[in-house]
Amino acid sequence: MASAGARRRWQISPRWLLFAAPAGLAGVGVAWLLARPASPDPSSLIRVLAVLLGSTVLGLTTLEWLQRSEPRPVIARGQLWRPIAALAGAWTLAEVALVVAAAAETTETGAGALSSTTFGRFLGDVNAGQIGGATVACTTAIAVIAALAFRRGADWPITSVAVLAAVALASRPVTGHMSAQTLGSLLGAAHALAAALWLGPLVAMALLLRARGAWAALLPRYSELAWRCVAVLTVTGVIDAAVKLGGVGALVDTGYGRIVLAKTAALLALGALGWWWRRTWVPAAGAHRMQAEDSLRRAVLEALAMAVAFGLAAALATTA
Amino acid sequence: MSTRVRVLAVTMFAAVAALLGAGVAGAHAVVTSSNPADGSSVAVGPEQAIITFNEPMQPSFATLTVVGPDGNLWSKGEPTVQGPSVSVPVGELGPTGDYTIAYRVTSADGHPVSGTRTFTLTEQGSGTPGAKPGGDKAGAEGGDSDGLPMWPFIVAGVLVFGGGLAFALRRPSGKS
Repeated sequence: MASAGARRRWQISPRWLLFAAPAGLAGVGVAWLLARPASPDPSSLIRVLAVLLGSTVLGLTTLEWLQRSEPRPVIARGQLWRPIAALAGAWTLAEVALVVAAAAETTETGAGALSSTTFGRFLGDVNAGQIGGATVACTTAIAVIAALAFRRGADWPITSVAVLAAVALASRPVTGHMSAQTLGSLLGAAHALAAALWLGPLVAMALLLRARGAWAALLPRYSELAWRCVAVLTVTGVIDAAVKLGGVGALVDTGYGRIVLAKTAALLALGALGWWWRRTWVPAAGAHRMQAEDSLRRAVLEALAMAVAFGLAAALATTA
Repeated sequence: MSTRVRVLAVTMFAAVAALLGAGVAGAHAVVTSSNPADGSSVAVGPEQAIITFNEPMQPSFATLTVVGPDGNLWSKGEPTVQGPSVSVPVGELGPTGDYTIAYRVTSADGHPVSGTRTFTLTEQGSGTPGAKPGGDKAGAEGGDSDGLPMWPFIVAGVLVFGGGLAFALRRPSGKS
């Protein structure tokens, strides 16, 4: 009786994905502790939420591609527009907050005292402002397109939204830390998109898949995408860190290096988990031998672990 | 498969080589030199105080001030950003002692970098100081004189956007 009640209370539901937000913030917190006396910019707390939301939006757009070889779609396109629009809306709010925070920091004004003229100059003249404005424009466009498609039941191609999401996700890394080096922008963009494509489809599946058959169709496809993302993520991350740190000593001596070490540990842990599940969960789910609920539990657990790594990454991007 | 691995290895090597070849990699822009040099002694104030960075800086929102031992502002007017250099006119200085050059400039990756450099004036000059930096700053950067405050527009935009979206995404009730 009691155990049945307990099991019921702990029943997994897609709502548990909301814990990705505190998990990401916890990742920023860990990075903040590791980085002392250097400190990540407080805006990384918003940044991690923005990236988690953006990755989920991008992930939702990939579901159609993941099921491309299915004779009958597991997820209809009509099911995708509503969550895409809602998440893109939240993403837009996070990006607006990021632009305002960046403007306040660059101009040394409080966010409340920021004048429209100063803000306009920031959006027009400073690349952080231009990028921020373009990102907000992209995410707003995604929300509007998806909301219109949902209202009208339109059968619009989802590629437009996917491209906008990719551009919005890559825009900050392109102008970030690595932008001073040749190819640095390219590596930054590849790193961010690989991370988003590793997490996003997993969250999207956890949000929408309810049947064993749906997991059987999509999970093996996702698994193929995931290991390629891990490969890109590792290569670009190692190059970035090697160039930025310039030596093994800096891994321990600098706050930046210690966050890099934490990211490496997170990558190894997630990689080991992924490797193990690739041998157990993926074949079982692919052969319809696993309940949808068990698949959902694993997907949520992995997504939450990844969210912590995203927190570390957001903090690293804003650590000097 | 082995070709693919080889291609990947070559690409990686090329990428690393290109990045390392790009020179010393710093997180943000760093100051490479200043005029007057940090910790130096000068007999006469320079025409301009100049801070030079290792990379081109963004021209907007740069601040560069020279504050004397008397706590007065000795730099004159707004700083100019030219490539990696930020300069501000100074001219003749006043009392002998330590002068502080304070800068805050936005680097190419969008992060503001700030810091100070000091130099010592050994012979008294006859220049006239500007205002105390604190009071001057509040007037110049308070934002009130600079147009309407931004936050009501942002709040209104967010409300319209969020409300519109919530309305558009409401579940169709009963109709279907």
